[in-house]
Amino acid sequence: MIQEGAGRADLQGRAIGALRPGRRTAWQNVGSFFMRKPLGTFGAVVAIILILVAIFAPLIANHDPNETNIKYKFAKPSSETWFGGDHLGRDVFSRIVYGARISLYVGILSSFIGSTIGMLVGVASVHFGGLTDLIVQRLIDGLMAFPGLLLALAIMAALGSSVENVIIALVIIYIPSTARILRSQALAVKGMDFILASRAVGAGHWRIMLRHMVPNCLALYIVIVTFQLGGAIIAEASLSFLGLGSPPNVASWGGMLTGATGFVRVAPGMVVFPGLAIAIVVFAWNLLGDSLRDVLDPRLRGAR
Amino acid sequence: MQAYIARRVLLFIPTLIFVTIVVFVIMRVVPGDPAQLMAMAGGESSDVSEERVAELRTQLGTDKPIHVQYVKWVWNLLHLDFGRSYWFNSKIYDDLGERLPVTMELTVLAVLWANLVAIPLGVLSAIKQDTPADYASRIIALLGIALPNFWVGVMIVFFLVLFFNWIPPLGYEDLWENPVKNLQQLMFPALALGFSNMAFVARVTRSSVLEVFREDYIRTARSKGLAERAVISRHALKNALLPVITVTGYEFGRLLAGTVIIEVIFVVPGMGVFLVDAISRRDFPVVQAVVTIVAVLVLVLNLVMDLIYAWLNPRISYA
Repeated sequence: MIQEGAGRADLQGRAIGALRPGRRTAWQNVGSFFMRKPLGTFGAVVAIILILVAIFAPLIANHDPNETNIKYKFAKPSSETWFGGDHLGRDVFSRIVYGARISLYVGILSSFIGSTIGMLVGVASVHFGGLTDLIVQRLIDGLMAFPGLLLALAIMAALGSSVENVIIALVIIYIPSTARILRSQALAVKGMDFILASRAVGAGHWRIMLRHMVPNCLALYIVIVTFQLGGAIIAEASLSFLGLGSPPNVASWGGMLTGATGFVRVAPGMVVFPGLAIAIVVFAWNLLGDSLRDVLDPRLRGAR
Repeated sequence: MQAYIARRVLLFIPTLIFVTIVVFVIMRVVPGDPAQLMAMAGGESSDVSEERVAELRTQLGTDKPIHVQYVKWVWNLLHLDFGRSYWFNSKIYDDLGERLPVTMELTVLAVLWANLVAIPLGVLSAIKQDTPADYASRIIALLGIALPNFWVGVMIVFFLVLFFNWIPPLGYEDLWENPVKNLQQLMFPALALGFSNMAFVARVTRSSVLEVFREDYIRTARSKGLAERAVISRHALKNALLPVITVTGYEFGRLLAGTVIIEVIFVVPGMGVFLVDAISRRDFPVVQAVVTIVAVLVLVLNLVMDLIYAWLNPRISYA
């Protein structure tokens, strides 16, 4: 199933292709995904829009997100302030646009770092087996005993609130859950003949793990990263809402909602627009994750 | 079966110990000296005398090696002594006694309404598979899973204020003293908290019922001429609801932690508000106590659910 000597960039395509009859190129796979999964496509489109908004934030926003202008205090939505102004006279639209950067920054870094370390832990745990596996699994049990948000709160309490500390907290939460899910996949791979064959020809631990086991876990890994990215956006918003995530001067969607419920009557936009931004993005990301899971790994259906 | 129970209970102990170690280590990563913090919290500003700090250090036991501190802390935990708050110098045990029941009630209410709605919804969705009723309930389920529950909470406040001009009564009245006011206060937080749970349970119920429908004994029940109603209620549901029961148990633990943010939105004086306030005041003994209690509750709940599942479902072998 896995051939030696192909380029690294093709690994992902092969991991996906391997689950389907016949070999197709990555682009053909993308095309068929769009045809078969309209909801997933919607999710992907929203995800791409979010990424573009984050990259081109200075071009899209029509105000400085932190600029306070008494004229815009509790302003109604207008041609000048599209989503109105907040209690300090800052432009809500511009803050949402810049908030996309924080959401994506935290989402991408925490999900990629967390699941990559988690994947390596899961694969190594299976590869070495025996006592190593037992100990690692008990450690994972212990970390997973904490509800995610609670552990994040405890870590934020210890480290203090900053965007980077949110990422650290989320990485610590994502490592055990990824390792647990990928362990079952790695166990299945470990029993296959090509692992035995590569061991027979004298491949070392690293080679077996990185060249043979990891590529066969990649499909599942991609699905997990997608879900965690959506989850990380919620988590960052939740922590910032509680005042424990991004500092108040940084425009973030969760932070914008802090105290906004108190101004519902004067400036409903302060609640509605950041809330909608979170809801739409997370909803889209979940749709994308759902569809990717159906396409890449049907066994995961029903998992959260 | 007995072997399974014994093994499950035995594995519970190292996990429990590990959880306490994790909490302890996280709280020791905190930069700064607790004694210094405590002295400063006493209102003596930054110029605290060295002697006072040293005295507090002895009092707190932080001058001892770390493993001694850990053992002492666990020993106290076993005696339900959670220490004192840095800030109020009150016994944390007493505060917890006031706040834990509030959070428990909120969580129970949330799980209750979620299941009362979700199970009929899931069953309906499965019976009427691929009809508009099925699509509608699946969309509700999808929304519930995708929408963060704090957003649901904020939106509930938003609509209540905007359209009914009504703010849920803030604060908290005891359930036994004033049940009507108590329910008025907790109704909306419970609604927000249970929303994602409702969606998840509906989804599990639907797939579980669909799975059971494919079983031989359902075909037998139908072919012997049993009314569809009897097939569903007497044969299908009994088996289909098994996973739902366990999911509810695990979800209860998740919601227990999820209350943090809902309590902050609706100003419910439970464990969540207690925790968030403690974090912002850097009142570490409180943080440590709350996190430990919730984590241990979740662990015990998972253990109980595993055992109940094994008891309810003797077909599964636990090798």
